[in-house]
Amino acid sequence: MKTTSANRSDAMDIMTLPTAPTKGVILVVDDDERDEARALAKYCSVSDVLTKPVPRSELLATIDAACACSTAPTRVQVPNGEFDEEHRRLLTDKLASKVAELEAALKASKAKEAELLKTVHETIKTEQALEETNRDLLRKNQEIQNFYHTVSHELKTPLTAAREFISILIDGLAGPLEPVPQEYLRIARESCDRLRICIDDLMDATRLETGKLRLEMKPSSLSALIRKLVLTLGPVAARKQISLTEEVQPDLPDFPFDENRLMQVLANLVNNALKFTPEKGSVSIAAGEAPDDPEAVRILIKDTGCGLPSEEADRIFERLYQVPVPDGGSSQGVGLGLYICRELVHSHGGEIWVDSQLGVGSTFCVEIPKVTPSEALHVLFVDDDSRMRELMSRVLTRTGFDVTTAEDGTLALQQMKRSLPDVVITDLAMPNTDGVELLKEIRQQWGLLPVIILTGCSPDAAAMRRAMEFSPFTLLAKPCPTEQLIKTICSLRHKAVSCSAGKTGTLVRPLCNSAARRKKI
Amino acid sequence: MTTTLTQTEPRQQTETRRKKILIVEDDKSISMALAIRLKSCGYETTIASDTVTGLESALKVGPDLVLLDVSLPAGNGFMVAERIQRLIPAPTPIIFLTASTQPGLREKAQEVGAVAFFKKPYDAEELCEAIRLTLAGLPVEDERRVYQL
Repeated sequence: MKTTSANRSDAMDIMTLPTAPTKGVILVVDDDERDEARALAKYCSVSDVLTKPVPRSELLATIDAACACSTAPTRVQVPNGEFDEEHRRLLTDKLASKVAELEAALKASKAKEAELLKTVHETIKTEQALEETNRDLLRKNQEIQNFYHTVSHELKTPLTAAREFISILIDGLAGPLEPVPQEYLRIARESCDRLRICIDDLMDATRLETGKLRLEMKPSSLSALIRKLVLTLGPVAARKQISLTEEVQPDLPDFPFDENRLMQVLANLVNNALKFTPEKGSVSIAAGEAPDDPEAVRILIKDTGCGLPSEEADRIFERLYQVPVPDGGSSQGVGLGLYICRELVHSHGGEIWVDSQLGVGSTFCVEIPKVTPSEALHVLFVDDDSRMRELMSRVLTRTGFDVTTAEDGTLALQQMKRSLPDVVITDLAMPNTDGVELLKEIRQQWGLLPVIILTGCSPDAAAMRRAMEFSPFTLLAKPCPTEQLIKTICSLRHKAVSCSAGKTGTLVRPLCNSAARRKKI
Repeated sequence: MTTTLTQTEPRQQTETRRKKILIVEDDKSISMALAIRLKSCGYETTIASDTVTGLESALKVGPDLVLLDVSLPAGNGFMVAERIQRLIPAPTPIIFLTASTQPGLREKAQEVGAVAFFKKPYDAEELCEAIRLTLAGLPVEDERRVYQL
């Protein structure tokens, strides 16, 4: 028996030739072609239709059967080529629909590609725009800074001359002075000093707002600072016959703080206390370990002044808030003093609040963490941006932290196995092991080790949602003011301690709650 | 332009030589106030109001001490300090005075070897004390670190 193989269209041609070269035709078709084949079989000498897969034995049996009865093949006469037409149409239709299908698919994929390209272009454009905006903002920020520096310089220069000429007169360098002019000149010089404080406050507020304020954290003695403060303000108190006393816990160790800035805070508070306390009243400064937190130092400044109504107590630390003067007099200052105090205390990772009773007096309370150098927190900073790592390493080291950095999660984990940090600060999007993976590993290996996620991702981004599975963590958005980061690290330090002691528990946001603490005074 | 404000001051016979202080300060009122103050303390003063005159005067007068402003026309106080120390063989103590609030100036002053750094408005008593100590060859405690009130 002779066999010839042919593809589909050839097979059709062979079958429809006027003189059939074959003894018989067996169609072997796919399952979905069976109906079509059966229809075709009506028109030509198809012996049988088999559906794939065809078992070998069945195929051989069918061939034998076809050969047996094909000695006189019967040909179906197709009138007037009708078969060719209909057959061709069937095929053409099928082909056309297939072509149309493919074309549609091609079109769709091209559209998709175009869309993707467009998105890529848009993303690039947005990124460029963002970068430009960022540069603009940085430049504007610098311009504002420069402007304030210039203004401050231009205000202070004539003020210096005015104050010094007044001093020259007071000191009698231009001849002896009668008591009354001397008194007037003293008032003038005090006004100069108030003006200088005002300029300094404005500068400080600007620095705080532009994140340019830098603390110089050095282990220092709080009792020495308070003694110096009492010595400086003693004469002011004496003038109003106010008793100004200090009491510092004798064994209070040195701890790191910015001496000038803390002095600024306490001086401001004591000065206010002296201002609002009537003659023959008393102002006391007390300092010691915080009663409910051995890791913090609490400083209380208590006066027998006019006190504050409770609704004022919560607002006095707000920027530009001015305490109304009781007898309708004009209030002094631009409303920056206590705001700056609060911000400076926050920069130290502490908290400030006031407890006051109208007509009885006020107690201002400053509480700052006492992280001594031997217990300096080890902070691991993980970010793939080298500039960010360098900046943070510098800033955090200056604040007194022991800082190490890693450029991705893999390297961070390697470091952590060698030396476990107290707090991990990590970015989310990083090559190799990203922030979420790192967080997952930390949770698996080190339980509730405090983690701060410092990210530019929006809170509803997919990565954030994945990270939520491995909470708790503290989320900070980039760009994050250094002060806020420091404050957050400090606030986590209790957690770090309890974690290293093997305790577990839910991580509550551990920032001081002033309302809750106020009751404990 | 160099102005010498020594003619009107009566000579003190007790001292063999009055110490000379060069004031480099572009604000005329401040330099005048400083001169009055320093003369009352018994010093001889010379005033210069820009970097070039400041350096010229320093080379000509050979002051015992220089009071230097930081922001000056034609450069800055640090440039003057550096050149004074390079060009004058005898060590010349320098005290900076500035109204500028730019960060890092105090550190910069230390770098160029200043003995003290005062912010304006300065406290005359403290400034005079710093000058007295320096001229007596004693170390100066830098501007009182207490936040002034």
